[in-house]
Amino acid sequence: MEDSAKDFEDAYDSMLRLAYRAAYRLLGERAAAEDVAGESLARAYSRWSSVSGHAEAWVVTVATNLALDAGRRRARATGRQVELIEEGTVDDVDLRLDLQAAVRALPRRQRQVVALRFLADFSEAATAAALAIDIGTVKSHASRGLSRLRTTVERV
Amino acid sequence: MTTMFQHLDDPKPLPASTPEQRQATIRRGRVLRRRRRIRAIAIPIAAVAVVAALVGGFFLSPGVWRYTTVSPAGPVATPTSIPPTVAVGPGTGSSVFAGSSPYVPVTYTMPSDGWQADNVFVVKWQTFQVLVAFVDVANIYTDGCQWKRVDPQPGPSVDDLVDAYVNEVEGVTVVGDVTVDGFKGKQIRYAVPDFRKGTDSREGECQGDQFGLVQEDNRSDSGDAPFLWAQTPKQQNEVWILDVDGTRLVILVGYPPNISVQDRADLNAILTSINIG
Repeated sequence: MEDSAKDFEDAYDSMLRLAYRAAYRLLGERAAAEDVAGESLARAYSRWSSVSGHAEAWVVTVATNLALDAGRRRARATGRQVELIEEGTVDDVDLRLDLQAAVRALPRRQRQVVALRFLADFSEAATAAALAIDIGTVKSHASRGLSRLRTTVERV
Repeated sequence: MTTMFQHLDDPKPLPASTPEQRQATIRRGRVLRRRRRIRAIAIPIAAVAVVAALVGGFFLSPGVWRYTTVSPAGPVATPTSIPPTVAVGPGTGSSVFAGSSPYVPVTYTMPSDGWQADNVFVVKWQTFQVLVAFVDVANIYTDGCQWKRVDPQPGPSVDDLVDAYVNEVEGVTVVGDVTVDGFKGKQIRYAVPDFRKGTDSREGECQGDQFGLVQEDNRSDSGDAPFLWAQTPKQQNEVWILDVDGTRLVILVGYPPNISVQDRADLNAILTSINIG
């Protein structure tokens, strides 16, 4: 087995859990979140030599973007009356749709920080390391990002 | 510790992956990598072919300008069948609006040495960081870094594209109504973010290491790929969106935030000398 494949397999479950968590929090549907997480990991493997040093953050960022795309496609196809997300309550569905819109509207860096800190539950230090910025910058982006989310999502 | 969105988590934990699942992901990753390598090889080959065609054109029909070889590191993503017109140095430059059909020609005065007129742009050729591009824009990017296009695609009018910029692109300012060579339109301004470019040791954060700006019209085969991308992080963009006899055409000026006084003056001279059609 190639070394890269072994390294990738060793990190697989950890990356998958994080990508799935971020996608599920946005989409609320197991199959869709699994698809997003799987695609994120495949993309990570396709460029593993450059991603492996910060793979978890990378897959969370990609999974967040893919989940937002999936949410947008689903909303466009079905309207706001999404065929109700199997495991969720109506409140959660609305919250997720609002959350998708709010995260999508964030500036790029704020969206990265929000994805890592609040969709994947990275610590401030881990977020700072993953994005190669200092913790103060993470706090600043997280605070601004949350503030913008709160203007859209009442329950945040 | 309870986290902010923990109540949105899947109540059923994700099971551990199986070897089959991991191998399927690896196979998919290999397919993606192969596709990327094919693109990486195909685009430079096509670029070299176009450069060869352009250079051949110089020798066949030398004009009044001093010709030089074209840098393959230009801002245009892939070559097109646009007529070759390349010139370096003072004189009258000519280009066409990329994507226009039939091609709409444009001429302008090149103010000093160091500028190169190419088929769809005029550029400060030593650095390729200061340029004026002429494009029939089909779509723009709501996230240029990840090549997320505006969806649905903007309509065909000047206002449609202005609205798309305002609603979909971060930090856009509408400067107001403008007239270029008698054609009316609107100007907007914005700056691309401080994205991280790739290095030998670390991949850039943007897809293909390119922050996409626009897609040209008549290129249904280009997928998400940009026709024109930012040459530097924080690139400042000034966009003239014009109605040219019922066709929406775009003049996009890009430059780094620390543009020199001379380059800015040169840009202004080019812009004020533009003649469309």
